[in-house]
Amino acid sequence: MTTGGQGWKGPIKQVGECRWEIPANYKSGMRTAGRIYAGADMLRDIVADQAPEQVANVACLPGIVGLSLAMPDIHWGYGFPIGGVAAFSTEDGVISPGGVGYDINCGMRLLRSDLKLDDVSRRMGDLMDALARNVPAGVGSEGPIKLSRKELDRVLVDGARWAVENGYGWPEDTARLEEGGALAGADPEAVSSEAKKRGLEQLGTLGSGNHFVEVQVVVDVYDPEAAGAFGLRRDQVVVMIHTGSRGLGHQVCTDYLKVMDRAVARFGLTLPDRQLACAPIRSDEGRSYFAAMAGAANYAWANRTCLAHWVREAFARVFGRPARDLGLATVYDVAHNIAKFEKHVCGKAGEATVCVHRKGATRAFPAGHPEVSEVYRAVGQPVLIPGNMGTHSYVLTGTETALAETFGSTCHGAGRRLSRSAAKRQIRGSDLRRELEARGIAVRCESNAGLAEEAPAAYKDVDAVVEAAERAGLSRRVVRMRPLGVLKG
Amino acid sequence: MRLFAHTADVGLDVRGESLEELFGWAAAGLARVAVGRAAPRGLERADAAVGGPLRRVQVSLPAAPDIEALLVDWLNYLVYVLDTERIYPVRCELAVSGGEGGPWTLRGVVEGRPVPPQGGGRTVKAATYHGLELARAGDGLYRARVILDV
Repeated sequence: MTTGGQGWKGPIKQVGECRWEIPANYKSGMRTAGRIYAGADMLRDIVADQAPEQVANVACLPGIVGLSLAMPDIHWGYGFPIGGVAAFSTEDGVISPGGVGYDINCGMRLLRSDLKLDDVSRRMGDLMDALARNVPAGVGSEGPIKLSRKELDRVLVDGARWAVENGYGWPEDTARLEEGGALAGADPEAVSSEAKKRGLEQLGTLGSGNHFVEVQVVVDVYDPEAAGAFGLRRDQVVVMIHTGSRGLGHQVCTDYLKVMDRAVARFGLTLPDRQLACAPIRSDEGRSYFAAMAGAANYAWANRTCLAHWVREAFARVFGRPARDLGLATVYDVAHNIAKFEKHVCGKAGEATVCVHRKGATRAFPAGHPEVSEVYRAVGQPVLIPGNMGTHSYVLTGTETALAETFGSTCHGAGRRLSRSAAKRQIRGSDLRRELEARGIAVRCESNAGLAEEAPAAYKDVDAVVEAAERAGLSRRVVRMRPLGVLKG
Repeated sequence: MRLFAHTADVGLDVRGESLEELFGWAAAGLARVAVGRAAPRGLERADAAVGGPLRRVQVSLPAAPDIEALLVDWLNYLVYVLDTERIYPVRCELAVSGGEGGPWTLRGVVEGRPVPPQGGGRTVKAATYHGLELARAGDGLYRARVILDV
């Protein structure tokens, strides 16, 4: 084994509070500067690998509007950095599957409850067992939902609405999801037969890797007004769900990267990294990708809706009361791997519709923004930030600064610091399991190796990431949660 | 075949005396990542005794513009088979053809074994073009590096 990372040696200078700039003249082909939002103490980790080079590479893509941006949880990805945000002109800009990633609409959902810590603390073992039984998880997991091709096409268009109409959610859930859980513009015809085959049996499954269901308790309230609007309060038990579009989304990305890889020369594009394969937004390839990606995003919203349903069932069984009586309502649901057409004020050009790519970044619109669900418009959009096993998670809210500087985006999590193999070398899964259990965190995960790969030490400090995002003005903390039990795929 | 680390992902570093052997080693590397230690470190010999039934899948990939892209297409085809058929490759009989300037094609047969339900493997989302290399070294061996998104 060797490490793949070598330190990045390019120029970077501080241009403001938690703001670092890679100048546009750093390398030939850059059309704009790069900007990384991070604390000074975080920069050493960030330049330890090639993530900043990837910020510079994204700055080379045609039609980029504003800067090539990276959030405080930036780390080395492929093509775009994880934590990257970039917007492209709908006139002469491109759309890039690598700017969204393979797990299209990987994202977070948060359920709140009327339960308090005391109500669950003695039942955590039973609750985690019930969740482990009810939530299909692990490599290649299949769920109880078997879709016909026709039904799958409906999922691709209707997203979370399909789940609610089929009894896997509550009608009021969809008003509390980004895009209402169904991104417009999806076309099942743009999704390949291979992608559909992968999607037929995976709806309502968690998958593996860093995906999880976590039972948490709210321990800190920073903004009582926003917390009140989100229905959150100290000592309250909540549930966080992290998953995406499963094999269907992976296949959509693979399919269109191949299409675009082969079209790059025809469009006369020269790219610094082949993984940045892209096509003009207005080309047939660009339009088809967006239509397929929107379908995969909708599959992910349906997926998280079904998972929330399995969670509600498990709680109802353990506490002997219907989920509604337990108050297991949806707080919100955010995508952190997606491309969307949004209206933004773009410098002197004024307001324009641009294609915002968020890869490991979360939309963070402020109070009053028309795209924020009506129920939260007075306080701003909830932003759901998972920590990692054993560490805190957060609910934040969006800001005007984010809207002005980052196309309304902030961080998405802690951000990986160690490779999976390095994590496994440094941490034994069985030790970690014991340590977490000793701290009162119930763990359900089949694989000790899988547990070690996702160990807290493999990630950056989520508290520092969220604090840097707040110091930069991109988001504000609303509440902080501590884990009680985690089910890992 | 050797695995190498990448911050969020895992890389394959493979060598072979022929392109067919190289592609076979890449398949074995993918199996190792996806299935864990249950998968052999390399492919099995065609005449070796096997434990349990093998499934045969005929492969014919559409033409790729260059050999590196063909390697990515090959691995992504195997990712698809892993996810839909729940089998991992243990033997391949492949014919890779093409030349300078492309196109490149791959035809053959893959034999696979069912993925154990509780293996130590992980979901491979895809083989990527990021940092992709394939070249013939001075010693005549083909060598490739490809990063898998896991």
